[in-house]
Amino acid sequence: MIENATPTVNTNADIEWLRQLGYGLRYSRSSTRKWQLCLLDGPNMSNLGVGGRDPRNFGTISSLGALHASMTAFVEGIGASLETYQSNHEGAIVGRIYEVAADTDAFIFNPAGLSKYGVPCVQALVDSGRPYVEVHFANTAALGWTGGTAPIRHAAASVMGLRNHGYVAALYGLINALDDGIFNETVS
Amino acid sequence: MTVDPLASAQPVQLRRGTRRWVVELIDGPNMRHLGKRDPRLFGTIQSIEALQALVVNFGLVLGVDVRPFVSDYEGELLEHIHSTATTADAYLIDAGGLTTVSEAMRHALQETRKPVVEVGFYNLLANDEVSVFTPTAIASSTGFRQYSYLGGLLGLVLSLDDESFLHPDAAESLTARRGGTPYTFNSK
Repeated sequence: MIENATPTVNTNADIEWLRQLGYGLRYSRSSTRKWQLCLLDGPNMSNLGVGGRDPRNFGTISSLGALHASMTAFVEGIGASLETYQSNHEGAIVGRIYEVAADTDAFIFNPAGLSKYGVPCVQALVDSGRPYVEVHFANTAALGWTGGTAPIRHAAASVMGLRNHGYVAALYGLINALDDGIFNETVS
Repeated sequence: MTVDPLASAQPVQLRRGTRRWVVELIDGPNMRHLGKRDPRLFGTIQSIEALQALVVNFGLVLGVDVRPFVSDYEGELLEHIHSTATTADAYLIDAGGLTTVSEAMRHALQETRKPVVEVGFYNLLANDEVSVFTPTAIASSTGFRQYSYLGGLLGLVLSLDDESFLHPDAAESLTARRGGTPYTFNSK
């Protein structure tokens, strides 16, 4: 049996702090472009925090809503725009990717339960023509899968192992990389 | 052109934590020759000094000490890790040409019992490179070129500040991983 841990990131103050952090880092960017980013969380992520996901993997963030609200605040603070989405249904994520691709500059994708076999989502992301960053709360390399996760070969970048803080790392790296135009030549 | 947007930044309190973490930044073989390396993988950054200054200055913005070290010699890297093990709070490493082979460097890092974040300019698995470091590192941040280092450092610092995760003085708990070993669904 997995014990529950006390949730920590769940107040408006936590979310406002991330907005301030984003705002404080705004001047470190080399551009002021308001990139349109789309964050996709895969199956089981709706169970974060009080839903009971294993705290040894996922830490003490209180809920998916808290995660998405704090990342939206961080991105707004740094001067870009974030849309968030989660589904436990692979087909819904596939549909969402095609739906938002035209209005999206880059995706941040946590495949979660689709990490090993989520090929339809990978094809949709490749079809979108937009770069994507693969993120994970846990270090998936420690699972020892040959060749890594399904999305990794087509991902522009990846951040894993830093729990919810890894999303901040991924968003900061992504926004700076977009500002610098580094994915323009590498996107497949 | 690569500019260093952080060169004139003044230290400000962006974090909730106040500890001035010591982060050892280690670059392995070939990274010393940045500027002469393949621009398709490493972009336009002109030198290792420019890279180290970028990361050190970002550390100043966040209020932490980043201590850079680079060597083309595996033995020097090992001795540097041995001699910093007690003073470092964490390691940010890009093993360069040793990424896929150096069990010795991986062992040295593991024996520091400090969190290690692996960073890299490009997505290793997309280039058919399997890092020996990732499975035992707490985290990785790759694919954003030099911004992988900045995103990795930001995520690492927030994780060190987090008393439910990497903070070295935090009490033993379900979620604390202050020794830096990753947890996965395969862990016992």
